[in-house]
Amino acid sequence: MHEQAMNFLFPNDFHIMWSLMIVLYPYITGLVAGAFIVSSLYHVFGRSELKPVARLSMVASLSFLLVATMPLLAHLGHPERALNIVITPHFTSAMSAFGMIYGIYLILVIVEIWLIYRKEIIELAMRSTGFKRWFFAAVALGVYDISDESRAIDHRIIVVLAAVGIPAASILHGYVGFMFGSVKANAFWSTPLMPIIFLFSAVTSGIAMIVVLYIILTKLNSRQIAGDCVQSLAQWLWLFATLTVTLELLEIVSLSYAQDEEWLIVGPLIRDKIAVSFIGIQMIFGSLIPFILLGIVVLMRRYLTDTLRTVISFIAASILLIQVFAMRWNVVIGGQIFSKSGIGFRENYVPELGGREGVGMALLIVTIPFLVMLLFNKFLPLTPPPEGQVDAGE
Amino acid sequence: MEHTKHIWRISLLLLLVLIGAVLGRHFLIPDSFGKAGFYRYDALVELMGKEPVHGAPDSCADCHDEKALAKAAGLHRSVQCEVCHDVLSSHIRDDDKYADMAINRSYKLCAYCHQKLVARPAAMVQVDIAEHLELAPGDAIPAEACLECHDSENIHAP
Repeated sequence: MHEQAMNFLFPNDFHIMWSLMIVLYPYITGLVAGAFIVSSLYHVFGRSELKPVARLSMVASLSFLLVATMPLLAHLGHPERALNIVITPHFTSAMSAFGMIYGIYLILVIVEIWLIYRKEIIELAMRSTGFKRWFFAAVALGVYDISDESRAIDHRIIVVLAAVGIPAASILHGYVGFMFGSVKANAFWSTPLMPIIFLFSAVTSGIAMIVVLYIILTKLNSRQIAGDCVQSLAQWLWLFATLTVTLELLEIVSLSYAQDEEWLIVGPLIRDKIAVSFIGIQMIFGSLIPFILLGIVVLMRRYLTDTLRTVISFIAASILLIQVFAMRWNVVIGGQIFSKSGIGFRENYVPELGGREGVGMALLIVTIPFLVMLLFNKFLPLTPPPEGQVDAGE
Repeated sequence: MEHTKHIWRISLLLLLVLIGAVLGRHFLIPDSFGKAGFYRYDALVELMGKEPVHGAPDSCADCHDEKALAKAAGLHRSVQCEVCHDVLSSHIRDDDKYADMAINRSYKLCAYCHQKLVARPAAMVQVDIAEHLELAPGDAIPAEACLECHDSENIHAP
């Protein structure tokens, strides 16, 4: 047990307390915030070419939001105590602020989705019989008004909610970065850049997930992939990925250039201990390759066929999903494998396969949102109705 | 306003959720919460009812006064007995000896404080264990290496 302790000054240096679950937690909340931003690009900023993914991104955001706290519950144990932080919030605690932001954001997303899907819910209630009819009538709150006037009102409220949702989503995820940035004893985390880096990489991962989901869903439904939608997503993805990687590099470069005492431990950490996951996966494989691939989509737009654009965007988005996960991994695990005294390193962390905080649990948690989306899609379509049916509420 | 019925209904529903949350919170907060600070006061009472695991610093001296006196004069005076020995409750129950006291004889325990480390105060006795034992590179350190030479007397009053 004391093997690790032999080269360390502080006893809190030789356990990796924040495990795979704490890697997964910012990853999931990032997907939530990022997916929401995609739908806001359509609802608030009028990017009409993103209409095919506006609904999908809202539902994806909700599905991941529902499991966002699960990694924390698995990590901490005692899920029966989870609500204590919500019912007795301490107003100087950043973690209790999360409970409130999470609650507000959850309600906001549910109401927005309800307004977006109100027409389909009502139609479903009218088509169905028995329990299903009763259930969807209750979901529609007993109001069957789908007149143009009511849909116009819905539309106005959706725009307001989507606009309010942007700061809410930003705070929700900015908080996660803040938690790391405020650990002042940790040279690798303690920077005010941390929330900003987390936010931008969240948007990157959200857009990347929507690209991947949209292409897979459309292929599964044997529908036509909207070229301008993929093009637009690829452009946004390129922009946000570039900003993210720039910020990630800036943090390291400024540490290295200033040559403060932190660099004595952070330098070897990056060069030796997390070289594969940081330089290899996060920077070269995860950043450089998508930067070039998406650069082709952005710059050579006129020369690309729809199929080629789809394939390139799909590959780039999939790699960026890995990049953002690698970034979370490097921050969370990388920040824990060196001594806070700067004296040395502990062995690297390898997550267990089974167990409460293992790989199996991580896979289970990530699978749940897709099952939720699948269930949702069974009743209410994630991709919009075919052309010609213009929906005022969207 | 026409066509706003559904908006009124969802607003009402949200209001009900809010009232439910406020009421629910009222019932969920434990009675003794906040009585003496930002915690459930009754938790202290519950903890006080638990059987102690560790002994107080002087508990061992009740029976082992010789060892305790020797230790008090030695360099290990600030190290509690239960750091190297097992906890008191594994040895004493209801003021009587319950079982033999287990001792941690591993060299790793000694290394916890005495492994050579740049960051330690220079006055602290520090050794590079492998070097101290004159081990060939790659040789494992024997499990009880330290106690083979530094015996009990040595440790209680070095």
